[in-house]
Amino acid sequence: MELTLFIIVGAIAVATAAMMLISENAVHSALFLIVNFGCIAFFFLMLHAPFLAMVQITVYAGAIMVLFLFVIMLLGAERLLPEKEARFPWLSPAAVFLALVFLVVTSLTILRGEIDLTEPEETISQVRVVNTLENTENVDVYLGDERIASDLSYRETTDYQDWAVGRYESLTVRAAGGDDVLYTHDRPVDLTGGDAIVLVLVRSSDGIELVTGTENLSGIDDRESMRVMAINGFHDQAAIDVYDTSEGRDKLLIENLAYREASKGVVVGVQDDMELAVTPHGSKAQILTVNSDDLDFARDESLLLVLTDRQQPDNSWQNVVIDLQSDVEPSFGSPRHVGQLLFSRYVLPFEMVALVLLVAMIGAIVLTHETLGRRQRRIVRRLANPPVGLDQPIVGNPANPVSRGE
Amino acid sequence: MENFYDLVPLVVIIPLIGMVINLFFGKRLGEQGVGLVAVGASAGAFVVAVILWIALVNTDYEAGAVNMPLLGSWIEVPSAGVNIPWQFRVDTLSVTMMLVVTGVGSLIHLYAVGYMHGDERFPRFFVYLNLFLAFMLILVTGNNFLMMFVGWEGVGLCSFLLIGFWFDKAKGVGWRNSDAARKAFIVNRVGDFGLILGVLLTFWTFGTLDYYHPGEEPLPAHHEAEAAEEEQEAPVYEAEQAEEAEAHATTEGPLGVFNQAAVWLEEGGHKVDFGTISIDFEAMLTVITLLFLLGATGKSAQIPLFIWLPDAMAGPTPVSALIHAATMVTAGVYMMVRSNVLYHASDETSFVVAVIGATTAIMAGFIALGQWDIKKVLAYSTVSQLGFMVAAVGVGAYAAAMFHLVTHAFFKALLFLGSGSVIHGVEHGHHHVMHAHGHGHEEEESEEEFDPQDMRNMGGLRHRMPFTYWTYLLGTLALSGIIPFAGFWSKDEILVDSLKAGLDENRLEGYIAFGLLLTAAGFTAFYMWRQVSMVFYGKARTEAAEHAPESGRLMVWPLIILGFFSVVAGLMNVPSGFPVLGSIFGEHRFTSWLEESVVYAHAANFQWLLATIAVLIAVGAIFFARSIYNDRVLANLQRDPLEANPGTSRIFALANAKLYWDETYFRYIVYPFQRAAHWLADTLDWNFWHNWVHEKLIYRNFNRATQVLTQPVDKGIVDRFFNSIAYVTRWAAGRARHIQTGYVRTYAFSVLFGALLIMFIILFPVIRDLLGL
Amino acid sequence: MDKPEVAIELYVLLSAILFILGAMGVLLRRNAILIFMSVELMLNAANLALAAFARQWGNVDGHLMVFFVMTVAASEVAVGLALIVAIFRTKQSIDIDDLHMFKD
Repeated sequence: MELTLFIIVGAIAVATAAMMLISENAVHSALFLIVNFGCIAFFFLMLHAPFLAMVQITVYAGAIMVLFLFVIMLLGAERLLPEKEARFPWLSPAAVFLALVFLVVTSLTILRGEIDLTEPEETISQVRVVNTLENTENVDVYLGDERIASDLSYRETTDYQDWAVGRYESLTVRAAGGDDVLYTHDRPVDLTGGDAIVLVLVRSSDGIELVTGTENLSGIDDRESMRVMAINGFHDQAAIDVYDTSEGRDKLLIENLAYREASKGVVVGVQDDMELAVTPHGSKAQILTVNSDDLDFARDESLLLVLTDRQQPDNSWQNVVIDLQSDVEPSFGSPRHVGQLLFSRYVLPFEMVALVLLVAMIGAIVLTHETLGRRQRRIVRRLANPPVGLDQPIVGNPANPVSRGE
Repeated sequence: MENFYDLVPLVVIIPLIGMVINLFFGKRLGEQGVGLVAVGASAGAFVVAVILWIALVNTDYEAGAVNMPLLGSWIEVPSAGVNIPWQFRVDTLSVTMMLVVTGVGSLIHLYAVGYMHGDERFPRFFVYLNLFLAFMLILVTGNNFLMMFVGWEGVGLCSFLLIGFWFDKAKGVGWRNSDAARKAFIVNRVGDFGLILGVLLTFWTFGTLDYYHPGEEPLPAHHEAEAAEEEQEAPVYEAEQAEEAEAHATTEGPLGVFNQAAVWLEEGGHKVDFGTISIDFEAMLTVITLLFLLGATGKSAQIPLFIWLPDAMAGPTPVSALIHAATMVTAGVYMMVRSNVLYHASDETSFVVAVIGATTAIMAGFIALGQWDIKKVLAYSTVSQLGFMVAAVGVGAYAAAMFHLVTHAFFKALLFLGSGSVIHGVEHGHHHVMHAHGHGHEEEESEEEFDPQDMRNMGGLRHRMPFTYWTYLLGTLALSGIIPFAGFWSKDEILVDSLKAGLDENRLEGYIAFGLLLTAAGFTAFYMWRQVSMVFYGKARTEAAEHAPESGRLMVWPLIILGFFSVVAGLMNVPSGFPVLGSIFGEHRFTSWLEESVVYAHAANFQWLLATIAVLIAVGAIFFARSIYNDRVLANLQRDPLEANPGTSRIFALANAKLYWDETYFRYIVYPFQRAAHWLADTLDWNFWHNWVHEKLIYRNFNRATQVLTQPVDKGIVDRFFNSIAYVTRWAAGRARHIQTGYVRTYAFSVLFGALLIMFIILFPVIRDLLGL
Repeated sequence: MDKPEVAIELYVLLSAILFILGAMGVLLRRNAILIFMSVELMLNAANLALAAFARQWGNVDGHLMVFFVMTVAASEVAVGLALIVAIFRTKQSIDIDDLHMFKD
């Protein structure tokens, strides 16, 4: 389907470009070019660039081409004056030859798959730490030798931080502000590129455990949905399932989530009254439910549920859920996406381009200003006819010349 | 009070500032402004000199040395032990010279403002005058021989510039002036050559050029003989003082030239090392002082180098007064007095000095008898009086020499300024006559014929110019040595001292000097009265003299002031034994003042007999002159009565021809030199060196060699190679320039072509695979 | 993100074709306005390639590049057309071959 569309619209684009090239009348050329620009706007849509498509239509096909048409009409320059003899007879065949060579080389190169499609490697990953250790004092967490979290209290979470991609040989938990090592992770921690990684500190039978999970923060196509992800930190170390038990639904979202595992993100449609239920694997007995009263199920966001339990004074265990909500990235190519980048990473180029536009505006005004041209013509005329007698020395009254010296 | 010594650089700097101002703004300031600046600079220097004088008196004549700001260490080569600072010396001798130079100089500056009025190079004249003052003051204030040499050369330069100041006068007069300037400069070269050799030998001998190092006291003289004779001195006290000072000085490290010389002389047996040979220190001193004497004969116009001074009268009269009478020409005397320690040590030199001085005195006095030019008479008189001073140095009368220098500065400046006033008046009278007669074109011719300086064109000016006449009379009496005018005291002291040198020390030069100088004193009175008679007495012999006006106030006031000093200046050194005056003005004031810095200065007692004889000779000469040049003779003065009288006509001719000095020099020095130079130029340089060595040997062979290199090598190979490169380049450029069509589309094509080329290069591996290569 | 259904090679090929067509326009036509339009076509071809690669790698930076190119193109058109108007006033022609002032 897409391919068919591409071929049809591509053919139209090439045909209109060629027509623009060969039509004698400049107005016709401009109209063909507008159609061509429309095709390109269509391609932008197909390439998930709705913003660009919009701009293409309004600015290019609209404003710029109107300007062209206006100038053509203004100057009455639909056609050139009667053809003079061709000045460079060799130019046309040579140009066509060059064009053919270009086309052959590029198409052969492209069709043989010479375009390098390997994705560039991400060098940054985002990391955050969650503390679910209810009975200990606040902690500092070191990833490798560098501190990633300091003075982290129970149920507290750090923000996402940018860390260099790589394998970190150790993770150390120390008492806040001190050197007492509470826990040392005995396996290396891998940070993979472009991912949002959650490090969860959970209590285990023999002290502290680290659970790592990868959160999916990419844009959700359906704006009415959210993404749910769970981490199993129950101390009995049994596997669990998660169900969507909202009204009118009974759907298994996450199946067989083992202890210390993190699930994948699951997209769930959001409605007013939401309820999620956690059961031991294979059982329907709900051990924990989360509903709209407990927390806010927001659209277009990612919800991370860290499922743990804590020991009560009577030695019974109470199940606890720590919910972490984070914004997902806007969907690819949307105006929001483009705008976000434009005002963050590309602010300086944006300003510079604005300046260029301003200068161009002033330049256009100066260049087309009526009096400028007239003044230039006057200067030309004056230089062409120098005042009479300037080449003769003017000394006093020519009729009565001043004598010099004795 | 010693802090005031730090002002001494100002004495040089102030005239320099005046000079710079006039140099750059002279044209804009106008005559009044220029005169104000120049006189102000001169008077400012005089004020500084007076302050230094007062300071010196109040510090008990303690000499001081002051370094020039910014120029402190002038020539310093530590590795060679050379250290010649730009250092001024303030002692009684230098302050005396400063007072004379700036005092008389200021009056002459003032006079010159009137005298040079209307001259087209008025500012330049005062630039030169101020520059002269600065150099003269460097000469007299420097604390080492090199600074003195700098001043010495500087005043020589200014003298040259000012003698030739009117180098552009019409009809050959300008040539005569510039010839005179060159003569002065070249003759002085000979003397300066001697001086610089002397300075270099001094440095070699002593390792320093400082007179005295800062803080060093002059060691007292060795009066073994003299101390016994001088009754008023207390020998015990003096000996004690001498020992004390010597011990004090010798422990102070390195000594200046004079003290070192004194120490070595006393030790005896010191040798000066010249590598392979070594010379006795005493002999070395004789050589050095003789070389210094050569310098002095140049600058102070003594035999044999005096010939430039009479010609130097070509300069404007204020210049003659300031430079060639009062100050610059006394530099030689100053230098010898400054070096009195050295001169005193060398008997041979003393003899030569005394003989030269006395001979010069009588010789110049004789020549002055036969001169017609009013300024020439004064010039020879100056030479004669300088001879007196030099002879005084020769007989060891350093104080008397300085005394005569000071009094002579007053009355000779006065006489020159008076003569300038006369010339000025006669010239104006001449102009007046020319105007009255309305001669248009004849004016230039007759102006050339009319010489306003010729005394035959004057006469009877007594009534026309009363101020000039009376002041001139004062100067004449002073110069003639009539009591109580200034000249009497100084001249008398010289005569007494020379006679004493003969009688007491049994020195031959004492007798010689005494005899010659006494005769010269008679000549002096005679030629001066001859001049006064011709100029002022009788009736006007020309219309110009008849209409000569008195000079303006600016010129008369300096005359009056100088006239006053010509009368009273002698009273500053009244000899002991003179009644009344001695108790009023003090005895030997000037001598005892000088003794603070001039080690061998000493005073002489008044000798009644001698003074009477001298005055009688002078008075007699005056009456004799007046009787010869009586009013009858003066009425029609085409020939001198001495010339008319057959008995004396040959003598007069000899004097009028200046004893043929110039002719002798031309015959035995200048012409042989010119012939030698011609021979060297024609034969050696042109025929041998140019025609043979250069033309034949070098030029022709070089041409031959270059011919070979040019034709086959350069033109054949090198040129052809590079020409072909140029041809190829031009051909290629001619082809390539068609690329630049000026049409946009072809440029666009090139861009596309280039882009494709780059794409090909990037895709080269892919394309190679595609083509299966 | 899922991969596009139409292979990126096709987009690049289309972009190349449009680009060389624009280049031909610049070289072969003598009407200054048409040359300008051809330049716009070339810019659009480049934009298309940029958008395609942005899609390929899910990197929205390419879109921003396109955005900037469009802005610069707009200013270029404004100045360029002003120039054409000014030249037309003095020469009464917009034939590019009449403008050979680069040389003599």
